[in-house]
Amino acid sequence: MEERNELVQKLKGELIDALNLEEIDPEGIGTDESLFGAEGLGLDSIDALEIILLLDRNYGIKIKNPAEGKEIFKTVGTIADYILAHKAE
Amino acid sequence: MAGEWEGKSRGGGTGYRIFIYVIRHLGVRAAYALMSLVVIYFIPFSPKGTAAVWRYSRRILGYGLLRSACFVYRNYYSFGQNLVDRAAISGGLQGRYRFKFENEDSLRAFLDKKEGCVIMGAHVGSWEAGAPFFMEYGRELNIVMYDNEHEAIKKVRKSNERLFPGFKVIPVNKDSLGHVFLITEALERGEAVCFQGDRYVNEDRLLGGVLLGHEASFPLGPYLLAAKLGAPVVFYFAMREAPMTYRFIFRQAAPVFGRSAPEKLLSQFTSLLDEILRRHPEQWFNFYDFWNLKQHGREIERKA
Repeated sequence: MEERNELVQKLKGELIDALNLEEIDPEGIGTDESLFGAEGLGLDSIDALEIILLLDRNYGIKIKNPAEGKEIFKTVGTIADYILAHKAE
Repeated sequence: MAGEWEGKSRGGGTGYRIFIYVIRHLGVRAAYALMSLVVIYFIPFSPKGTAAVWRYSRRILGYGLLRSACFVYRNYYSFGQNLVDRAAISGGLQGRYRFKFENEDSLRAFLDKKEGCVIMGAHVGSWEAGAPFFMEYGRELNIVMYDNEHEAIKKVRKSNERLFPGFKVIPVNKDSLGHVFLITEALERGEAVCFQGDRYVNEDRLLGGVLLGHEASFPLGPYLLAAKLGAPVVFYFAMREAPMTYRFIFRQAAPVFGRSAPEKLLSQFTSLLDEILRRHPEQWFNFYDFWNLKQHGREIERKA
């Protein structure tokens, strides 16, 4: 659980850097807050590209399946869970 | 919003079906003749499109009143001819056409590498005319299309499977993420992903550029994606030079780096597009206020 919390915090910082979310600090992003769509952070497909690149660059993870990708990219928490699951493999 | 394309392409499902029928039963030249009449209808009954062509002629090309009146017809008719040609070529009649190539050798060498690449075009000429050339390589092509364009094409494909053989369509919806995964996956597989680099649906994500000496907005997505993924980019245009004659123009983009890489890529794109449009101004097929001239006109009036 501690490992997940650390990863979530790290991810929030990385997202802020990659997406140029200068007006938001890590505490401003809820772990279970929607990243995309009208509710939540309101990210769009350009941001999704940045997250795909971030995961590849920092964690060696490539997400190819669109259906799977949508689920993984729901929240910072789901991204962290996916990274941890892949680490376990 | 004024200059934004509304997501619908002229010449959708019904138009394609009519021309396919005429081409098959009466021939390409008969379809041209029919088109020369059909376009007269569009001039008054497509007022937004006609107004856009008029502004393009008067303000961008700098034509006079009489020349602009003729140009409106010429622009519509040219679009109609391209529509006929793309249906005929996709329907297997490419043997009746003459194709010329510009920078063909460099493109062949490039495609033979079998690396993922981005092919960037625009709504000029008829990019579908090049389908037989790309199919020659057996290369998988992924065409990125906005949802409404895709829906129109899908309806036609149901009744005519010979259209767009082998092409895969990646539908783009600005509220969905699916296309981003499909595009990155296609590039990973070593396939080509084709974008039209001139239209946008998301007004929050734009790149500013200059085309034909006037500022305009372009979609950020294709340029950012190509730059970020480091995918090689080839600009591709198929221009109608004479009846049933097309010139395929290919140019590999110089590699771009740094934070302004998307802008640098766009600059290369607009530079080539500019060159092509000066040769073929009538083959500009964006029938909306691309340069946002209506809004700029109001601003000029207010300042005066």
